Amino acid sequence: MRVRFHPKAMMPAVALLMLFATLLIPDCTKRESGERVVLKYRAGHSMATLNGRRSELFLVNEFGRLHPDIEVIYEVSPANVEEIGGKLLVEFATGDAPDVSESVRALIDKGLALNLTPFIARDRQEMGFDDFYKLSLEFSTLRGDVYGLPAYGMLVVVLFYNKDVFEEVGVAYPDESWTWNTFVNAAKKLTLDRNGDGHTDVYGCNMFINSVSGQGPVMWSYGGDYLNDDLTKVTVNSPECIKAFQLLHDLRWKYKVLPRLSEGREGTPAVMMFSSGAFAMDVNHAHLIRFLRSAGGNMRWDVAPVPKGPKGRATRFATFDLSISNTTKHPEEAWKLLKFLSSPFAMRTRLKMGAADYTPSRRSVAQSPDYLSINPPDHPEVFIRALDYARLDKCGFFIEGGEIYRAIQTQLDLVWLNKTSVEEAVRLAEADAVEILDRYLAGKQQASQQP
Amino acid sequence: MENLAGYLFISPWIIGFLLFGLFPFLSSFLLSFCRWDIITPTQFVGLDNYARILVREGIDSRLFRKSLTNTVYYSSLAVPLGMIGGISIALLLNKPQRIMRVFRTIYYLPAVTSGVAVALLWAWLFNADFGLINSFLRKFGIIGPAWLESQEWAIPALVIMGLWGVGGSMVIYLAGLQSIPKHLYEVADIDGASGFRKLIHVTLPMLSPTIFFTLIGGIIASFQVFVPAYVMTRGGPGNATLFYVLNLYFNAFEYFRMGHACALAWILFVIILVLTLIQFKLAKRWVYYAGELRT
Amino acid sequence: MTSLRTLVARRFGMIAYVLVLIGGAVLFLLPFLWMVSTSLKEPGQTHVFPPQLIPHPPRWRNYLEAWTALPFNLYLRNTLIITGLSIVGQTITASLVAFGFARLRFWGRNVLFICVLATMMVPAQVTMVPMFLVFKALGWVDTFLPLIVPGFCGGSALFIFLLRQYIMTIPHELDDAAKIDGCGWFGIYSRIIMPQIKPALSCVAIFSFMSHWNDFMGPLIYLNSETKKTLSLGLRILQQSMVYTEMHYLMAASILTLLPCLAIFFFAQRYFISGVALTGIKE
Repeated sequence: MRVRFHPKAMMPAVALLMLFATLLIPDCTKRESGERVVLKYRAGHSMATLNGRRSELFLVNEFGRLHPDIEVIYEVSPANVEEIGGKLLVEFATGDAPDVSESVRALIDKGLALNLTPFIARDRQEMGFDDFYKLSLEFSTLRGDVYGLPAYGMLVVVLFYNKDVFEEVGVAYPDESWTWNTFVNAAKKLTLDRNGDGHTDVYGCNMFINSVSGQGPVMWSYGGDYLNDDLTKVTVNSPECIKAFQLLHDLRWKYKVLPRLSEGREGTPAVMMFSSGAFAMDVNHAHLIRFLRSAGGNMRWDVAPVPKGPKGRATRFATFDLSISNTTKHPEEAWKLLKFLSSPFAMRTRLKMGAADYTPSRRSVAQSPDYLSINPPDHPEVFIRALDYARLDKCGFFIEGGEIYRAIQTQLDLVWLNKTSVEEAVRLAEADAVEILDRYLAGKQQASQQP
Repeated sequence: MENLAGYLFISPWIIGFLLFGLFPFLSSFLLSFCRWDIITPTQFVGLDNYARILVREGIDSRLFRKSLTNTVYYSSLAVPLGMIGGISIALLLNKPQRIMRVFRTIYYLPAVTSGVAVALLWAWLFNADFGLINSFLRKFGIIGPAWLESQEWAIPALVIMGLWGVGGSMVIYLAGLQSIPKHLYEVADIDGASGFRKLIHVTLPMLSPTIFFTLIGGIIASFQVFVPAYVMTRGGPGNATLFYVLNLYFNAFEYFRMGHACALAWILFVIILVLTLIQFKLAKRWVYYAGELRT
Repeated sequence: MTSLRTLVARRFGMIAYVLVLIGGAVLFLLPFLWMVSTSLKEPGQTHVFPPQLIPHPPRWRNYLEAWTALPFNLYLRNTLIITGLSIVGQTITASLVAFGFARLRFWGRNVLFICVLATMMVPAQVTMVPMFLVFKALGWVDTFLPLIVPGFCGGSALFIFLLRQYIMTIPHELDDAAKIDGCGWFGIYSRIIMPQIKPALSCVAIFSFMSHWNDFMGPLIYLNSETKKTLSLGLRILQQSMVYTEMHYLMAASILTLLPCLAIFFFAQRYFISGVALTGIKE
């Protein structure tokens, strides 16, 4: 018979086929022995970085040293929750979910996370539970019970500024006295057309007006919000919100101090543009400092609190927590692991290994030299003082909240494109959000009526 | 006996389909009649999901129509441009000189360059204020659009991005060009045909099976466009790049409305299927197979 | 006799051709050049905006450091296994199935072919979860099997379609001659058709290689253990830091990962660019 297509490829193919056969032999290494407990720790996607991998591996090994009777299998899943959401939920359904993994609010809502309150009540002193900032526990708290611990840290939005441009123009650095009006005036002065060609070379400020990172600090400081406190009403169509959104709109279209950038789009080079001097100020997340220190080049920068509004100061806050799945076969051991991973030792380790993008959520660590001596910025205490006025985004508290958030932003996008008025946009946003909220409330009612 | 032989030859596919294809297919269809958030058990709701999408006026039907319009717009730009681009490049590079191997590899390169590298590059190129494209246009006194930050130009920008991967279809056309018997060109030369006439009367007709393939493949793929929008624009601004599968994805994995997502999926399936069948019917008029199927 | 006008037109055409060729090549080379340039930069230089093309001095160390930052050798081995086996499976089975659809008449053939295409028409997002359930039930999660075995069952419907189209361009004369000589269907498949569809088969091989080599979702969902991960997952970890501090490593690793795809393409070209006759009937 005539020789087939790739005569030379036949040999490797045969070899590969033999390899294939060996792969069919089941993997015997994961078998549990009698006494040894095996836990699966899937590090959150915020730790799926080079340094994060190293730090968590180190911590897992340390834990193994301290608890020889517990074996921890460490997995890194470099994906967003949405990407593996389906897989994660199937794992829950089949009882295979990782024992310890990054908290997902939706899962807490659906009762898939282990209630940690009894464990905390018992071990409160030993684990230094009161060392955690009160605010940092909010994300994983449902109806008074704690379902997760902020092991990886917290994130706040602050005002970054480029010292070089401020000095060049002669504007005083931002400080606690700044209001949004001061901010706007400064931004106008800091917007430069260096060569007079009609094209702005330096924008006064950058703010992600298309997301809660930019809207929150303004909207909340005016006294408005997307939803009310018990998530039963949509409040985006209110005078406070309208004023806030109008200010954001004017930043771009009236004062022209804002570049055209959006948050949430992976390709966005905003982070690089700040360090290259494309804007003088940047209202952005605190963990930007890691980037600015290692890859930011020669720009001199510092941080300040976000400006205050008529009703006070507010900024966006988020935490990155770890939870235990409620299908775990070893709750006690999983709790030991969780305590360890959220201990001061673990947090300090992450800081030292450069894996901590976020502010530590324990007072003892956040206020220690380990964190505060990191310079620049000159004023790292800004991050910690921000906790006094920081808030979590309500839309992150329930699944439909994400849908509502998106519906609101879709309408507001038209405002940022100057295609509609703020009043019209919030009116439409309210209508859409109400439709979704009604669906959520109806579903909750139905669920509570079932036995 | 030809029957048996036929089934034997396609048996790998049949086995694969029965093992791995049938269950996902069927279950996604059945789920479209349910409400399911993957955690709590499914809840049968009959045609409610479909009603919300097709009949009842509300956010679901509005997003359905918007995402479908966006997808059709994208497809109607991407498929023809992609085919013309692919054929042109293939014709350009279908020469026997050895240096052509280098050029073909260069043209193929963007098709294998994927991921965040490309996304970042394009974000920089398209950046409204500082991007390379707008800076270049400014030299000629043209104020460039906001590209990915504008509703009118976002989809064209994504189409342009997609066109850089045209090296992929170039490969297929190059292969197709090899199946054209050389003597046809010789006959055409004898008749005194110019290059252009040879193209129209020999190359394209003989290439028609391949063109048909890229057309169908292009329609099926472009109607399911997802990654560029997910990575670059997240459906914005103002849902200008909310493609059909992106909307589906949000519903499935961010809002945990699997039943609704399945209903969306099967509506898309019907749309694509109908379009494909229409193309098959029309194909009889313009696709020429030398080895015609005997029916 | 060619007139002066024709000669000038030809020369002009030649120049235009070269200009377009090179111009297009530069355009298409741009993303790659940018990746190379970033891969050779210091961390502090990677994010200067607007980007500069030539780093001073080029940091070749990045390549070694990127490769050793993660167990890329292991990832490479895994990716090679998955991709290698998949290509073999796909080219063989896809050609078998395509031959069946292209040459044989059997009951329900057209309907079944539409079914083949139909499998491409349902978005993967809704089949992903049930598919995961199937593989979980089979016990294949955290093995390479979900990524390889479907390739042995005809693989992608697109490849079946491509090969079917290609086979249908081959006239029946050789088939008939072989049949008279007493050749069975399989003989026709292996001796007549397979040699003639080398261009299309090499397309399938190239695309199969590319898609499995770069596949991200498949390994993400089905591979849990560190020891089973693939190159695409490794690249994702380099990218994952929300502020891209490892851009230079990411680019270096991306380029290293890209090279096999390019190499395969470069050397496989001779199979779909024929300078010489393929078989008797064609020339």
